[in-house]
Amino acid sequence: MMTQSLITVTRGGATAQITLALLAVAALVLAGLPWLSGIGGSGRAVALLVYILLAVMWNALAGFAGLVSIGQTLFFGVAAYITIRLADAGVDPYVAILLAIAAGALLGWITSLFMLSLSGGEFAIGMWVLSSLAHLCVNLDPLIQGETGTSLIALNAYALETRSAWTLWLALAVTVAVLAALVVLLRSRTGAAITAIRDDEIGSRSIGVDVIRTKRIVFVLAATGTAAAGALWLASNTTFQPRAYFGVQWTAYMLFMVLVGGLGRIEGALIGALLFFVIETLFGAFGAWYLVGLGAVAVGFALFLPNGIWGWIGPRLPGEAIPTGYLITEINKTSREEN
Amino acid sequence: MMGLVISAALLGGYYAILATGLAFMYSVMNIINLAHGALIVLAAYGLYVLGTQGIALPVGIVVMSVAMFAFGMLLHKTVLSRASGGGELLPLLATFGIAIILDNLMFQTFGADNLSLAPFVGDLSWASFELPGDIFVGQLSVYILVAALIIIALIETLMRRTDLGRRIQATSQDRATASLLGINTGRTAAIATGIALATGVFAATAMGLRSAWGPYSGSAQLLFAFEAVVIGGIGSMWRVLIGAMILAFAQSIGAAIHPQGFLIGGHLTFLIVVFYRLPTWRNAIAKFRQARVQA
Amino acid sequence: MSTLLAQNMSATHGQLTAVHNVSLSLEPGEMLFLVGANGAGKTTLLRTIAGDHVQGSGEIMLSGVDISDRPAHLRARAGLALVPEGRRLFPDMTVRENLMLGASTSREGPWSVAAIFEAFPNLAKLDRAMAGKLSGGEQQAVAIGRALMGDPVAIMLDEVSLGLSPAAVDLAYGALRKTRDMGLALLVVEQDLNRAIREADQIIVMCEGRVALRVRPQDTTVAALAAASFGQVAA
Repeated sequence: MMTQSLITVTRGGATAQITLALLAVAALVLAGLPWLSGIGGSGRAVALLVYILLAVMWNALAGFAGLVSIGQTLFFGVAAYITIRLADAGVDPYVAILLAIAAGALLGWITSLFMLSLSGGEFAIGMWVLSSLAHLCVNLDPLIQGETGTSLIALNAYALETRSAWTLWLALAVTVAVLAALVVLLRSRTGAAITAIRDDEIGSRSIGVDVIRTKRIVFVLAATGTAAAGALWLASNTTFQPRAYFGVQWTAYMLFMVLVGGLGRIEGALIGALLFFVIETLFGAFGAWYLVGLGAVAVGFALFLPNGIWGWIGPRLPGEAIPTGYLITEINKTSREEN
Repeated sequence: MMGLVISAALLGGYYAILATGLAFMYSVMNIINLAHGALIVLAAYGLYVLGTQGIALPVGIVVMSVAMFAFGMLLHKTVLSRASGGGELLPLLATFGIAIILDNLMFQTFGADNLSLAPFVGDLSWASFELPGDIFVGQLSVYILVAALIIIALIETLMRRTDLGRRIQATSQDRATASLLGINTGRTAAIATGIALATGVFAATAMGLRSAWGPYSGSAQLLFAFEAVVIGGIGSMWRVLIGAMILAFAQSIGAAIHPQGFLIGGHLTFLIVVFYRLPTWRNAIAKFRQARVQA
Repeated sequence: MSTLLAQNMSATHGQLTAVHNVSLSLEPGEMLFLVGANGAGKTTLLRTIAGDHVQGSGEIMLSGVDISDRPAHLRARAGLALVPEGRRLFPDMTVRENLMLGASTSREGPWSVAAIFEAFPNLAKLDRAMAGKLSGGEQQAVAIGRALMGDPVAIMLDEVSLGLSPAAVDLAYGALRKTRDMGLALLVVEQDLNRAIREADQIIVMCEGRVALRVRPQDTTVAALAAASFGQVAA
């Protein structure tokens, strides 16, 4: 008697196909909202997409690169500010948004050159210092007039219905593009390096993973996505008050979404964003109590369920929902060998 | 000019008192307590409430120190001990969450009004010493600087000269070995957290007397404290004092250059110090020096 | 009554069983040597008895008191000391500070910093020296001294002579013999089989987590111990 192992390596499976189908339906429904529900619905949909961007990007940073930042508002606020500035200079607001996203990527790359040498708490608060610095500098701009702020008046060139639909479609396109970029990144060689760093940074360095380069790729992607969220938030709300964009409450939202959904998994960030959206819709009017509740739930998850909701659901599904790894199946075949 | 130097040095005293508890917790427990600022504001509300009940501020400080010490032990037992077992990220996430909870709870309880402890100390908040050369120095800021020096000296003595200090150090350096020697490491770490929070009461007193504060003042205090700690560097508590002084001078110079330059000056100095410490920069500077010597 | 009685000790590292059903007993003033190849489970056994290795089971009685369910620091306070492998001193503290930490058990007894300096005369002049700057022999002396400062009734020592000069080993064993004469029970992990036969009251040879041989030193030879270490039963 001899036992032979046949190993098959696959990616995805039924769970992944169902997830993809669900996401595609969700995207189609969102794209159709301007006809289905009008302006109000489109505005809420943009909010949901912004939360998804923020959650997925912050999760990529904390969950994949091990970098907790409490200053991602740097990219969120600066992108909104650049959009305002470009539109004020006569650039079409939608072109301004795209340019602001590109500027966010550039800012991310420049920041990464020095910030990534920091780690842990120093990185976390160093990012916050950068965000505060940007906030102060934006306040100095006479166009913004300190905390008074201004509006993206250039959007008035478009009819209300047109622009709410365009903003939604742009938000949807950006979100899908960023998500796709992240999945492609995680499936690449760099993705394997990211997983190695997440599991054991020193060990991965010893097997030749370029830790700084890998972290930089994730950091720049996170900066780009977060900048997109800021520019889109501006397009949807039209007013720009610095405090509303650089405020620490955004970090609290990101923390909540990622911790509750599940740190280190894209699915977790998506669930966290969706949950946050629902909670915000239902309880947002409660003001400070609502924030107390968010904080308490986030701390509770951090202490008692550090892998979040997806950490509970994920392992119970057959296969990965958003497959980034490989599925290795072993089939034991018993055969009688003849001498 | 002399006036600027003196006022900056006194402001440095305030930052030192803000930063002590944060530095203490970082050096003995490797936890960056992102709730540090919110806890200081919490203590300030405690002092305010006691003050409105007619309790003299010095008595209030003693009462609040005991209360915050107890709260620190509780915080360690319920949150920090659990969080610090889960890697580097969890304490950051958990303490940030606590800061959000505290900020908003205080907003709900006390409202958005800015408060001050100054009414409880008579004319101390505007009394001043006169120095030769017609320079007037606020008495309060002098007392704050003296208090900072005393607190830092006390913590240094505690850590280097007492059994408790040695046990705290042993627990922070090698928990397993500390237990083998009979040290109750959980309790020791809880006591250290209690001490850190109790020093926050003095920071709260200083903050409450010198400025108006509200429920969300904590994050600004945390940022100042953290900048002072990083600029000074980890090691002795006296380095915190140096860091606080540098931060205060940078801010004062910034304010002298531009009306809005106060905070910007501090942030820029923080970033310069951080960049200077980066290994790549160090190497580059060393190479540059070598090249000059050879030339 | 035994000073230290450990029965049916088992311990795992994850899914790997490192110690399997080992029992031992020590009378006051007795020195038990634990020998065996690397990876035989000696260190894990000591750490399990001390409460430093959590994935373990077994019954531990210290002077007739059951301490099986106590955490490490309460076992130390009950009078059980471990001098760990690699000594694990606090390198940034002075010799005196390291020794004083040993008194954290709050037990009554004959040991004080002065008494330690009497037992290890070479440490007296290093009183204020940083522990991290000492030689291996000096560090081992501080580690033993630190354990004694807690006034234990039983002391376990892991790899006493590892990395030490022969003179330093002699000095360490000289001090250990004195403590044995004072009535302490000593459980010693040692690689040097000659030393074991010379000093021990009992010898246990461990192999792959189990007791391979339990013997009195007068009834055995170095060759027999070595054979047992590698799983060969002596004829």
